[in-house]
Amino acid sequence: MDEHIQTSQHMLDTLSSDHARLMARTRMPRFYAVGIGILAGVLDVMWWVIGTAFAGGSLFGLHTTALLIIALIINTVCLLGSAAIILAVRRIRGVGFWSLDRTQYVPRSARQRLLHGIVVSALLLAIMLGSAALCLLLGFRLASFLWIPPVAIIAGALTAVVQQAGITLSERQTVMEDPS
Amino acid sequence: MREPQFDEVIHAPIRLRICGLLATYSPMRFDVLRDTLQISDASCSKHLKTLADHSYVSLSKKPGADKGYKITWVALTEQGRRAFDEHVAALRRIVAGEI
Repeated sequence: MDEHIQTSQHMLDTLSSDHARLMARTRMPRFYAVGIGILAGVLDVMWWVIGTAFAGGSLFGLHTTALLIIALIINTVCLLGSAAIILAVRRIRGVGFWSLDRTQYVPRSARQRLLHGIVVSALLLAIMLGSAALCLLLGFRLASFLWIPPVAIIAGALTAVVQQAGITLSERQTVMEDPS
Repeated sequence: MREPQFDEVIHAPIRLRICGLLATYSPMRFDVLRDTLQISDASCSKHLKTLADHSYVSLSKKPGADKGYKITWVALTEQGRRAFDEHVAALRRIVAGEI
């Protein structure tokens, strides 16, 4: 009987150890949510700076709306550039499926990657468009540079919080519940 | 909480650990499972086949990153999750001296 108890305890301990090792590999790096938040904040600052720089001007005789579209295009290019930097960092750090050599973290399925990509993209897009809407609402003439830091900080912090909540939620979903 | 139910298929240590890992994270790539358990390809395949024969896991092959090879993904089925939970509950009951 004692032998059965010992064997069962050993198996439970092994399961627990496997679980802990796997969880350590499924956790995203700590800098991740903060990094995305800072990125959103920086992009937001850029949107405002580009927007206010173009506002009221008549560069090459173009209409303000055209200038705003140009600003949006420039910001989109910056966004894509940032995405490329994130991918490069992830590749070097061994995060995700597209990493150098063997991945340090547990690779996610195509569906999980797609869902994560959609959520992050939608979040950044919402920040950009939300910022643009706020710019238009306030009017660029009213939107002095004083607006830029608080809006960018709030947008960045909001993004970081949502991103961290997403990471925590996905981690919680993978945690094996204790049946006892 | 599941009713404790000892399962002879899951009871084998490697199969129990496979189910434990998949209960934590699923679907999982075959190579990750093999490396985490530190077992050979053949051993991992053999145990997965046994679990798949009992419909406890599902295996699917999908193209890899460079499309040149296929990667096997392993997922725990609902039936497998239930059997695993019940088996772990039975182990806990044994440890508690209730059986």
